[in-house]
Amino acid sequence: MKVCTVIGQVISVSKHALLQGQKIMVVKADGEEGGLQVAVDGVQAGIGSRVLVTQSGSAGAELTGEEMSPFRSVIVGIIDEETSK
Amino acid sequence: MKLAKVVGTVVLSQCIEAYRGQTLHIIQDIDEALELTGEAEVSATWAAMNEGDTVIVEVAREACNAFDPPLPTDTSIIGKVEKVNLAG
Repeated sequence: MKVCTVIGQVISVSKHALLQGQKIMVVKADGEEGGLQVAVDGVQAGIGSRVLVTQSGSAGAELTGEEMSPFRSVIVGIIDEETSK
Repeated sequence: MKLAKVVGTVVLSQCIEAYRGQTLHIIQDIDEALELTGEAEVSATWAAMNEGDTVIVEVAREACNAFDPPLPTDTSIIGKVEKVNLAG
């Protein structure tokens, strides 16, 4: 799992049936450059939030209620506090 | 999962059975300025897109689940983006 900052929101009307009703946010992992990464928001995170993003098909399945979820990038938590040595 | 832009289409003259009739698009990642970045790649798509469309792409084993029956692919377009609101 990666610690990311939510840097934007994606507006998408036409999308896969299992993405309907899901909020999709642009997330940026610390120190990562390159193309824009997105994740389905499972926790109502806002822009600027520090969040935990998983790349697990099970998380996609949990959100959609379908075992065969077509996505696996999911914001699973909002971070209150980080400590590291 | 990432954002990309559709830059073209691929047509196969011969393919495995699962790919028969499938639309394949050439896509390229976009950066924070919404400009193209990185290398182009080929993606399956759950619905036909137009060149220039910004799209949501899953690049993982789960990409195959965008299709019923599942398509043997590791890259699938699963949404068309109307707008990207970026902070700052």
